[in-house]
Amino acid sequence: MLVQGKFSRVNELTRPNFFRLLWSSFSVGFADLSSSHSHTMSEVQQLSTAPFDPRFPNQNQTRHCYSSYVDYHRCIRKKGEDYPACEYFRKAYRSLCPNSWIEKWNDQMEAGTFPGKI
Amino acid sequence: MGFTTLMPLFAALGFGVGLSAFYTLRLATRNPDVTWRRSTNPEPWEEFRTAQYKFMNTANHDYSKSPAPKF
Repeated sequence: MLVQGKFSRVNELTRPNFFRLLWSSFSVGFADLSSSHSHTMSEVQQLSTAPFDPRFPNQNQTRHCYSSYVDYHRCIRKKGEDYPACEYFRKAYRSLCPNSWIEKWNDQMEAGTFPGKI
Repeated sequence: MGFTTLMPLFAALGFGVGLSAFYTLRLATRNPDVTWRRSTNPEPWEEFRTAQYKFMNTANHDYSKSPAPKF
């Protein structure tokens, strides 16, 4: 009984406490985050979407998407590909339109069958 | 033909029908997506470039400048 008691005390000294294990695992994780990965935490990408356009105030933004797409191509045709104002329309339709629509319309533009007036 | 006991029904029904008719007419005349003559007004939403459609401007949005550039 005495021997067991002595051994149990030694085990208590050497066996790590459950909560200490838990805390050490967390602190190791935090150390990883703070030291080597600080550059990825601070370099958060600036994300943006199409701003509020009062011409399309309601929930259904379909016309906003289509107008942006058509306006982008009209802008390109009129001013050339590197005109900075056209970039606004490109970002707008890329954010608003479903990708399947964009692909379909791009295919139609390449084939010359796009129904809108460009 | 005594319809006096039916008057509350007519009142409630009249109110409902009136409200629906009012909203439908408002949509037909004021909605940015509706145009009555496509030949003379092909893009009806352009009227709202600098106008406010909502009843109250709760977000303090500046309606005098439009985000879409003209080219």
